[in-house]
Amino acid sequence: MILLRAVVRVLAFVVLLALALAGAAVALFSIQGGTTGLSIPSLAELIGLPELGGTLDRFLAGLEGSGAIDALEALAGAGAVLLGALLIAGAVTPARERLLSLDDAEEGALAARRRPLAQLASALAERAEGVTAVKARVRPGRRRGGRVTVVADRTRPSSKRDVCAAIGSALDPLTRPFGLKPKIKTKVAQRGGRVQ
Amino acid sequence: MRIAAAALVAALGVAGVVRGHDGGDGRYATAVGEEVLPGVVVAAQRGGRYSADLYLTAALVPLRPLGDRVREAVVRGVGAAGLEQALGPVGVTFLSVEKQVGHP
Repeated sequence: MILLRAVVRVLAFVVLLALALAGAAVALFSIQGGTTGLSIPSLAELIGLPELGGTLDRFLAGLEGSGAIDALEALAGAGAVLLGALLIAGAVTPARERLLSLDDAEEGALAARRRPLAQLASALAERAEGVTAVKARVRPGRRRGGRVTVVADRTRPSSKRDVCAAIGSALDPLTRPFGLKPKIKTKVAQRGGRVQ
Repeated sequence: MRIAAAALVAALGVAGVVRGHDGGDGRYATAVGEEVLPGVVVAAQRGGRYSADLYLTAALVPLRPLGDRVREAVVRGVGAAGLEQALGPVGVTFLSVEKQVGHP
């Protein structure tokens, strides 16, 4: 469903962009009247609309004819219907909340959204020695647990290994109860970064 | 609906809970008359009980112990309202955290 939602968003963007470009082109070509040069008739001629119209007419006439339906046409029609149904499903189905489960006991579940966990991971990692700035992201696993990715800026004198170890320890109160696997990356902070 | 109100009041009384969170679009809220309780959803379960799910904004504190404290507080609070027999599972979900003023 997430993939469908993404496809719908991309498709909607592409269609809107195409519409905007087509509108701009029509407006530009409509500035001048007549049937030659920069005009609507010549634009249609340019993109082969008369030929396309003829081809479409012949195709529709073939479909309406009394003969057997071509397997390819039937398959294309069915495919178009299926694609439409999937796009509609992707557009109208509400997004499932992606939560990280902490406890799923009979007396009630304990869970959290990814964002607060990422905020907590940032807050914890920022306390590690040698760290000047942190960005954290949490991805839930398919069933339980997940991964927390921390990208930290470190001071120039600090060693990568020490900072990674310090961040790993700092994240422990978060990673252990939520079953999160830490992935820690560090880079030397640019000038102007927070000084610890 | 009394369970929803009692559960939310109890949860909000726990240190570390900032407020109820309605999910951003009101999906996690319960209407009691004209009043809307953000951050609590009560649903009927088998056996005449009701589950209470709390959706909360928390302070920047360890969430696991906070979740346990919220659960205990909800059970106590609903019990104090005389509804303990009707209370089923109590779920706690943290939807956001907030750095409170004065927090390092």
